[in-house]
Amino acid sequence: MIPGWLVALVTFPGVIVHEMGHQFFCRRYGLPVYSVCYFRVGNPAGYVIHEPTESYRQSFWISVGPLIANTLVAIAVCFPVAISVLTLQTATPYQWVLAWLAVSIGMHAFPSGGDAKNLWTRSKEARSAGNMAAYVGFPVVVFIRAANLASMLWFDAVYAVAVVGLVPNLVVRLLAGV
Amino acid sequence: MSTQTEQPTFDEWKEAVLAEYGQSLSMDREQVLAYLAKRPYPPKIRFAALIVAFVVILALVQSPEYFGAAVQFEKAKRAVRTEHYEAAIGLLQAADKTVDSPKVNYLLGKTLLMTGDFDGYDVLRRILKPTQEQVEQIKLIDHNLSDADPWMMAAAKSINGKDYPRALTELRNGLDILPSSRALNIAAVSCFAVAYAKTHDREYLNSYRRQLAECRKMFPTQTRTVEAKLRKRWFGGKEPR
Repeated sequence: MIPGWLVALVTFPGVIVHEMGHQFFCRRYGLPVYSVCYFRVGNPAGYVIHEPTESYRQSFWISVGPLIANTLVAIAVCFPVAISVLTLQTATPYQWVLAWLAVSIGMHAFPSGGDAKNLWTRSKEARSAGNMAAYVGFPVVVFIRAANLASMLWFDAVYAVAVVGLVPNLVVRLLAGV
Repeated sequence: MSTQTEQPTFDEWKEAVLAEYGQSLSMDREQVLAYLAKRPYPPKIRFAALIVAFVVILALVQSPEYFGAAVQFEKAKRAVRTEHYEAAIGLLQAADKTVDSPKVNYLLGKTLLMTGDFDGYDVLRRILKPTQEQVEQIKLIDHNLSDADPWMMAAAKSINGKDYPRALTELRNGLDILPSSRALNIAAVSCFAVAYAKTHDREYLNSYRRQLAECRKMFPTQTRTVEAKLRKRWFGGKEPR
């Protein structure tokens, strides 16, 4: 079994983008960020400490921020090289570097267990307050929890490869009319 | 008396952080809060992001040719599946001009072998270039062709060594197991034609005629195309005698 810190070290750009994703949504909602660690060798590999959220909407988007940020950035980074690497197998070293970068970023898309726990608590509070949006939060937390568990079986890597390979291949298939 | 140090609460810690920022930035508490609400990303992070963006844009500029080749490759795979081999060869040759891809090479080599429009070396170069792993991937992509692969590859190797009897043995071995394989039947008729053209051994001519009759029964449309092509390529456009 490969230790988590080693996986984080090899895929450190993903940790950085993950924390940037949290920070981006804090900025978006004007929540003061008191401390940020973009990467370190330890557990957790990165963190963002911010002012407690004022609404359920803020909690939701700050928690799932990395899922959006890492997925979009991974697709953007790999889009021009996925065809060379996966479909035609003609990749040059620098295209491999971009592919590694994209997969690293995609691998850290899933919010952490702490994020999921926080969103679960806030969802329960929101439901008690009659906020229907909470019903979106519950399945999201279940999905994050399941993904975190499955990451022991490299689901995070499978997700990353699928995400970075899927979009360019869909474009090709669309253009080919297949 | 307890010697344990008490952990500060979140609020205590927050106030300490705000005080520290206030001192280093010469701001009051409200100004610090406003600054932290729009806390900028550190210069190192911004610089790295800029570099990545630059490299991605550079890759993006080069990507249309890869996308073009991949589109031709996808169309070719479909053409092979629907037995439009001429179209597939055209598309694969166009893709081959743009990129040197083992997958394009492999499918082109195999399609050339199936249509009889080949010389041994070209087919061998293309068909044997991929690693076994890549061959496995091709098998996953194209189930219709995959079963015939081992014999097709062995035959291509023998054709390259001008060992036609061996090539035919390989193809016949394949046909014993997959008698209705279009790929193997067509490759066999092609191989007889090449063998006769090169050796003028009438045994090959008879075998060519027998195999052609078999193919006409099983795949009339494709056989017509392949026969015309074989005649043109190996017999000067006439019926071989």
